[in-house]
Amino acid sequence: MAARQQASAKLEALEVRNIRNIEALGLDPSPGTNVICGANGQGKTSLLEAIYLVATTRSFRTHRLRETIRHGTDGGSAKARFEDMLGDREQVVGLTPTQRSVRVDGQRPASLAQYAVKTPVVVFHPGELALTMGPASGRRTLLNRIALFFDPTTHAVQHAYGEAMRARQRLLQVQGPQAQGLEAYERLMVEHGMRITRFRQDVAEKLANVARGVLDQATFGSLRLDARYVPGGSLDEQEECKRLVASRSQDCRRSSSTHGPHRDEFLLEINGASTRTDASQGQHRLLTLCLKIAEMVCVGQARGVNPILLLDDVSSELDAERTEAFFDLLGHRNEQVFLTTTRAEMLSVFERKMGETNVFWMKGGQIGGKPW
Amino acid sequence: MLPEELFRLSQRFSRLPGVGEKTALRYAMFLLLADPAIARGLGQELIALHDNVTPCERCGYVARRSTEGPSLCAICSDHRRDPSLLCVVARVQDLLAIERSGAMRGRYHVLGKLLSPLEGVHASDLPIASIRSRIQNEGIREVLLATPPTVDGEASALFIAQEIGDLEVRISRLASGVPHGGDLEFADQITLGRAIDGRHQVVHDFSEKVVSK
Ligand SMILES: [Zn+2]
Repeated sequence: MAARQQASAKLEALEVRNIRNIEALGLDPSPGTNVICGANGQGKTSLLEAIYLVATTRSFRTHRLRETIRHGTDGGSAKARFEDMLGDREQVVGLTPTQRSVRVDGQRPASLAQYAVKTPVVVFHPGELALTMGPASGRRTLLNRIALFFDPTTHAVQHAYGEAMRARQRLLQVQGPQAQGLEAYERLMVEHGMRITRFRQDVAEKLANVARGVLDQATFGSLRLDARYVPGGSLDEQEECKRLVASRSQDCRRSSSTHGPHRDEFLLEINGASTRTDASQGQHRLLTLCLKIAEMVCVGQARGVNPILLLDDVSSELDAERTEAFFDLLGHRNEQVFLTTTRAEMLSVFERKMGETNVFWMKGGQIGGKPW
Repeated sequence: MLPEELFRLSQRFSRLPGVGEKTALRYAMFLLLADPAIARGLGQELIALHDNVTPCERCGYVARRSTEGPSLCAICSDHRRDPSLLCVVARVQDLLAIERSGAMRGRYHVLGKLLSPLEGVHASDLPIASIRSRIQNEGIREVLLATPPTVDGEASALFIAQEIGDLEVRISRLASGVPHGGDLEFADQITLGRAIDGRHQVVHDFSEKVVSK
């Protein structure tokens, strides 16, 4: 993976205020591997969440950002100094229950999407198994997230598509299939939908190629991945217009339309069998990991800089041998890594695999000395 | 708690766009405590406003109320304007933004609203009949649909294009340049001027694509 020899984004300093159970915390991480060690419920994941928040303006644990604000306070924030080959910059995300404000070096960026691709971050967390086992929406989100790094305007396109579809649904519900103005919204759905289809198809292909290679390498060629993008609409503009018109009566009783990219699927098969129905737990875990590594590589290619890696509790279910295998697969080069663990006995494994590690002990939302 | 006059005034201010209850009370208190001439002057302006100013009967922009004949705005009554070009905008503010760019030599039609099924604005709420009648009676040869580049703005433009597509008129749309989801009011004059100069033809038949000018 030659592409990963390129420069990596680094977090140089972090200040967190009132996020989850962290009241106030400052962190000066090393440019290499940082291990955050502590018992459950001490704020390790919240610290990763704060890093993710300041880089992406989002959380990987919830869609409702207000949940990340510390109880009993009226707002939280994360401030970071990031560095890559373009120099260093200060990024800030501030949250109140109703608002999110972002700044880069004190300036408001052109859009949230522009902000979110400045510093690439990829997170691995235990909930990620849903990527291969769960509904298609998780896989669409993955494609969208990567697409954003290739073209930040994809965010606005998806927003516009959703808006046009909701307007059409409302027209159908209120005025029925003969409503005036339906064609206009359908045409917009098709126009924006085609762009979504094109960028997802493109990203799906890139992602599938890398993931296939990683799985092949991990299993010495015994497992072959086939990953296919299956569009929820037609690939032909006029055909898609006709399908929308034809499905009007049916769509009157639905909350979304029968056709369109909101029904896209990214199908995963191992050795010709669908993973959703036929894969073992172990295969799901392995495949999820391959997809995340592929995400990392694709984001790195899109941005021209390697993402910062956040590994939340990846070793919780793995013994030392499997943890080593995980890191071998990860193929760590020069990315900056933040990983959390409850198991101090794994530190030697991390050190062996990731080079010199900087350990932070976390307790009660604070960084402190080694507690045992 | 407040004297009734102050309360009612404050309530009225809070119905203005962008004014919350706190600001409304601040305005009311200011008018109470400042020089009484300010409040009286404001009152006189407000009374005179509707006596003297009215939406233009032809295009929806603002006009002086006329006692003889229809009340027409300065643009509709300006004979140097190109009568063959009609620019359809969503709001008076958009008209002003386009006027500032200096790139529009025709006349306007202000919709006053955009299609928005989610906010209860439907096709029947758009002034299609008056646009059609203007095209038929004023010798208009080109209609530029300058609605904002939002989903509702685009949908309104497509709908109007469809509804006037049977008339002998060229239909065009602002060239891209104004960012999607953006607001014409805040687009800079150069961008807006370019978007007008570079406008492209819209074909109302939905099976065909937008054709370049
Ligand atoms: Zn007028």
